[in-house]
Amino acid sequence: MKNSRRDFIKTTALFGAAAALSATPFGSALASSSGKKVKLGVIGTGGRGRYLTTHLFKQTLTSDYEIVALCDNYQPSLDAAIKLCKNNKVTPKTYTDYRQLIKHSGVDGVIIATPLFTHAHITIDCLEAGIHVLCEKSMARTLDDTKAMYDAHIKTGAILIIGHQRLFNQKYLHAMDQIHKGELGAINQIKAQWHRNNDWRRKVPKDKPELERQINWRLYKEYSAGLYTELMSHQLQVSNWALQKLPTSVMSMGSISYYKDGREVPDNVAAIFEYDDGTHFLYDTITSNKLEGCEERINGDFGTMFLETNVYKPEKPPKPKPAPGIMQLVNDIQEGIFKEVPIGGASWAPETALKHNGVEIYKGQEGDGTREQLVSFMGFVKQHKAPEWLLREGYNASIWTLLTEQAMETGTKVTCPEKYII
Amino acid sequence: MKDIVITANRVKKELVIYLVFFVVAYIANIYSIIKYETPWSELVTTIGFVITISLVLYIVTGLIRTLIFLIKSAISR
Repeated sequence: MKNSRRDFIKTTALFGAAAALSATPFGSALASSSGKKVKLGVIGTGGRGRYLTTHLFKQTLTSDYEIVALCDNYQPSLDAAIKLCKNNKVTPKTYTDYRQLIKHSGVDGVIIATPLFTHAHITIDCLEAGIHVLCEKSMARTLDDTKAMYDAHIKTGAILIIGHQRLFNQKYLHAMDQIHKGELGAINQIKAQWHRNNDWRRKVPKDKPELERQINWRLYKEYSAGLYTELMSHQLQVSNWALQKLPTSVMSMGSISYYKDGREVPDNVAAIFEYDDGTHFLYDTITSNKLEGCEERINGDFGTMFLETNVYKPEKPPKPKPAPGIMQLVNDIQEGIFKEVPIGGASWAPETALKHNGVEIYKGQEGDGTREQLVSFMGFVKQHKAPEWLLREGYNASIWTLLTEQAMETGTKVTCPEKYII
Repeated sequence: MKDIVITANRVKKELVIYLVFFVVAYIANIYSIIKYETPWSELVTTIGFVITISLVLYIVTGLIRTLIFLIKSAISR
């Protein structure tokens, strides 16, 4: 360990936004944000696509971009996005077929926020047309599609980054810096959960029940691996990032035990990942109780980091300021006189949780990193290059997420086939 | 009604007794600073505690002395 816990806490408290920025992919991208405007397209203007578009309109760090094209094959989503653009005095071209957007819009880069099963072919077509891509996580529905996306990036040289916004979140970047410097000591376990209490359904128009699978694609195996691809992939990426390595095997279980409403993907899952040094990443998601919410907990032998809630708890909490010596003496005398003498009772004490509120990991974080991710992407598009590790993080999270689904379905411990290792 | 007369000698004796307790409390303070490794500035900052402790000791011994005096008086009658 290079610094003491005290230094860690001090650094944590003093670490400013400026210092964090210069160390992030965000900072390097911003440095290049000058010159001609980046022409952006958004493919997939559903909830997530519009959320990202709203972020683009809100962000004030650079104005070096313009949204020139929108695409969605579901008209209500496209209409909502057109309205959003209109409200921001932008009139992009609109398409219902992404191939038309590739052919005619003249975009430099696209943000792909379509259902998971469509990521691969849209991304590959864009990359082959020389269009840079920011694709929402998880990468693809199948292992082969995930690899094909990576290969297309290598073949074409066009930028591909995956929407793991935590990679751009200053709180996470700062925490990872501390973890990688060894401030948390030896990490032997990472725990994460994403607990929510809702059925995860989107409303289907009553007069169009045939749209159920299109709108609620997350619930059907053909289109998504459900909780694995839509939630776990984020937290698995964090675990790999923290440990700076990939799992060697995974076991998992999942079932439909609560929402028996015709869905095909589990409404609760649990998984255990093992790394080469025996470290484990324990994960679970439930959809019928939100008490514990979403959290990633890094357990080191010097302390624990709660990344979502931005808290660091050292194993030895800082001692409160001691009482004056004379008071301590009086207390000791008092204790000596009135101390209870145990006659019988338990021969052990239960190891209950440490009672310590902890300290903030990082001060000044706003948002979840989405804004920084978008700004970075625009910078990368201008530079025509992006740090390769960003894609590797997304690729590996995606591969291991799909292997986890495989472990659940086969009831076996799964390892990564050689051909998917990059 | 009989007047209670406190002689100058008595006052002097009580002052000496209190002073002894103050010194005892002060030495206890020095001992606790060394034992619990607290700052030496406590010699000044905790003077209130020292005075309180010395007063408590004085009152407690005063009660004991009064009790002994009453018992002695009862026996000599």
